[in-house]
Amino acid sequence: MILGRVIGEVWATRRDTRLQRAKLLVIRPHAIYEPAFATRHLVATDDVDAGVGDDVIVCLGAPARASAGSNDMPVDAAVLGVVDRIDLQPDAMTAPGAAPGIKRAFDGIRAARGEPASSARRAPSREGSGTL
Amino acid sequence: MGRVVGRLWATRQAAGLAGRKLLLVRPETAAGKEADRLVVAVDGLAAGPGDRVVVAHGSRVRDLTVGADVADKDIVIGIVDGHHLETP
Amino acid sequence: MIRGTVIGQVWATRKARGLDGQTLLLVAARDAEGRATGRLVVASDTLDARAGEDVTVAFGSGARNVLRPGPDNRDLLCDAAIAAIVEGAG
Repeated sequence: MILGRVIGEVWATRRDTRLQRAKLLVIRPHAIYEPAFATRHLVATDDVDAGVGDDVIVCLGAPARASAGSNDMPVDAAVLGVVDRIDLQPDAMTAPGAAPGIKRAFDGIRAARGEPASSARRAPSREGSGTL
Repeated sequence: MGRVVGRLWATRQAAGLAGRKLLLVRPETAAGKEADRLVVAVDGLAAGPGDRVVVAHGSRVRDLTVGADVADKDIVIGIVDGHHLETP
Repeated sequence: MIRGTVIGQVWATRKARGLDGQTLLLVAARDAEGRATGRLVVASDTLDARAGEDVTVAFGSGARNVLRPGPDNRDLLCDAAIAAIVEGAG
């Protein structure tokens, strides 16, 4: 799955009949997404009533079709969850040569959520008491 | 095609990888230029570091070679002895 | 599969039922030189991976095979899963 930010919605009267009731959201993936989305967005069906500005979890491929109801659904991406909290630990990427790409990704996520840029912090427990 | 640049050891792993050798493969262009990408592929052919290999991607190939239970869709399906490129 | 480093975790209360019970970790993909590519993957974790650990991530049916091996797992809502925690490479 990928993390993304809902940046809009798509309305389409003329659509594949199997998509009649699907709500279509425009998602900007957090960080660089492969395969390269030169347009930096993807359109996903919405299963959880997400809204513009929400950070969401998007799944791709067969699970997207499954969540839309069947393997015959012409869908390749589906919003499966609205994010309550992201726990990012920049210090975890201390392996040699690790930094530049991931710092950009972190800062991008934090900026999108209105939080200050990454700084060193104590690693919280897995069950999570620390907040971003 | 790519070059085997190493292998991974992992005790903590999915049951769907149990007993499988995991190779680190760096894809190459047809001209032999190496990419920065890294693929972790399941090996059934005793390939080793330095070997040039063919890695296939996909559930169909996976099912046909190492079995439908395997938790990896990148499979080493050949070890390259040589190849020929005809440029127009 | 790709290689990456666990860098965090994601929680969501509003979610599709198929995500219930899945631990969702954030993995930063790495290239052949060990550098972060900038790609972040939200991957299901069944192996109790921790932040900082070197892991491999499987996608698609490979990911579903991590959660439940075999051909009858197309109902699983998972497209990426941590398949191994790397102890060594060479």
